[in-house]
Amino acid sequence: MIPDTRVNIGGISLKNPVLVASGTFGFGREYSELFDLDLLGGVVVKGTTYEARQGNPPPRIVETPSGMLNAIGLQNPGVKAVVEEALPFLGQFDTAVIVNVSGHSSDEYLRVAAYLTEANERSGRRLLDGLEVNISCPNVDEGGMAFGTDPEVAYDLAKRLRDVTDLPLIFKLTPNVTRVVEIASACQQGGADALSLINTLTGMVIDIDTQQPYLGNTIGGLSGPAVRPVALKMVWDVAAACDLPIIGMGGISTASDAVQFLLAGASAVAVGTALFRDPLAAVRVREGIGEYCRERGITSLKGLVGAANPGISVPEE
Amino acid sequence: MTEAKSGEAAMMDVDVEVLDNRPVGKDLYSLRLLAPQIAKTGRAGQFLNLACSQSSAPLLRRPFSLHLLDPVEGTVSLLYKVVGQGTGLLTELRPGDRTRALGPLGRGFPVTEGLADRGGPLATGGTAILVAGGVGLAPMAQLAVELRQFQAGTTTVLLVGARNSADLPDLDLFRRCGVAHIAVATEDGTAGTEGFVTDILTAALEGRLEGWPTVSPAVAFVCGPRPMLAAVQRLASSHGVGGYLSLEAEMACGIGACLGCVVETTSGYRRVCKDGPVFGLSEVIFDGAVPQPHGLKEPGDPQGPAAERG
Repeated sequence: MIPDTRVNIGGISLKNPVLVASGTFGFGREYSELFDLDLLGGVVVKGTTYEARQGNPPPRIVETPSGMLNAIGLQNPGVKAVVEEALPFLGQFDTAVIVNVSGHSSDEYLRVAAYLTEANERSGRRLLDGLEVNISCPNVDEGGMAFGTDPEVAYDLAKRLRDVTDLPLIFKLTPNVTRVVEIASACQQGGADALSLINTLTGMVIDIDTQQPYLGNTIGGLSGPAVRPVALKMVWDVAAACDLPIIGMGGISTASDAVQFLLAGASAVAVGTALFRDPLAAVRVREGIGEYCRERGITSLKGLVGAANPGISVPEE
Repeated sequence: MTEAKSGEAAMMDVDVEVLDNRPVGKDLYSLRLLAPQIAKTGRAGQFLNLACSQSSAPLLRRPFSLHLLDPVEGTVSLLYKVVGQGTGLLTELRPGDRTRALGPLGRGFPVTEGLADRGGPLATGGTAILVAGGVGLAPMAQLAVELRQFQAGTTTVLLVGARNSADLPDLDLFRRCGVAHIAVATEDGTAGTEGFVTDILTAALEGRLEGWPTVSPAVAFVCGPRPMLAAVQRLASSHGVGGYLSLEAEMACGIGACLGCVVETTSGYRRVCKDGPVFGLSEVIFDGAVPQPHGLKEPGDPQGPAAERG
């Protein structure tokens, strides 16, 4: 029998729990040449700011043990171009579309969210299903991660965003904090509908030949299998302390990785860096989760979410 | 599926079989893969992204220029230099082993797209000057084949720079691909002229290479480490010669999605993997804004910085 893999993330219906993580998938155009995006539960597009941004100087990436650092710096064409070009393209596919909202000030987040909300209402059909608020980008000078490291600032941003949009609001949290649970709770109190965690861990590499930092931006964000145990533990902690549904991410490469996140309390997962070594990784994760459920007679994914986590008293609905 | 969805999907992620993997110089290997789809649709200057390990170490695939394609046999040859962990693991591949290859990727040299039609130098029987530094030789074999096929009347010559003779593969292959004249420069003088490839390029452009024809009008096709590309760019510009260069870069996705491999150009940051790796010769900006942390890093293996080479 086919297990029921549908999940609801803060008001966004996903037909399966596998998304692709923001920043690893562009706006879907390139990967759509390799596989049918209908296979995905959802696409989280590249971080979108109000104005176009050219991003950081190269080098922007460097490989590290079982991972990589990136410092792209939110290069994107700006929200207007995203609405006019990227979203209509993604609209062809039967998959949820989540726009990652970024900014260098709370005003910019609000303007991007308002623009997207209005564009969605104006358009005769669905342009997007929700917003992922990036309060965790380590690669921009101002803002970004600063919004995700102070509970009061995070609460204030959530509250103000709640006032400008009815779209589901997913807050993407940074792991670069002492107590991630405090930030998660602040987002919930401010009006967030769901959480994504984790974004990248800050890191750097120094070139011993030039005796200078390797990345053009000096620091970057670590992703890939190297961060997975850290990500899993943060999902575990937040799931136990907070009622919001969680999209778990951080080094997920295989179905067994993904199932660990579900067992820890994530309701859905996102595959990111793994796409770079296997462009079909997200599709394989989706298939593998189905197999895992079938082999064990699990009829609904809901029974799996948080099953390993004693901190979760009532399973996520 | 709508039309836009099915679209033209030239690139593919395919399972490939190793047919041959052998050393052809010091730390230089020739790897031949059975990959019929890529052999049929690939073009000179394009590349593929090859998985070097089955584990997450190293994490990323490695981009390699298409060295030589045989669409009839369905084979793709790569020329690679061992510079780190990924390429080190590649040398362990034996005939019959399998791995994954994503390709063909990127924009190649515009040989089939009417260099002649546009009234360029090759339209009137000019010279295609191929300039390679080290393993930057890789795309030149397929390029020579395509020049012979699509630019009849063009004379193809090859200038090669290397540290020493051990770094050079057998260059007869390039003659068989249609190269009429080959000149070599090595830094220690163990092969060809002692000096840099720019020295023999200058001599060629000024008609001072013995036994060589006049190379004007000419189009340059260049591949090698960035300092060499920068030097050739300056030289070509001062001699009024246009052309194309192929860049290497550390890449993650290889298909234009992650924006990790951008290079500064006269039209802003552009993706090496998707907008390149071949750019107009004067298009790429090589000044201080483009760091050279790898020193003379070789095309074909985007290894981490020196601290992590292994």
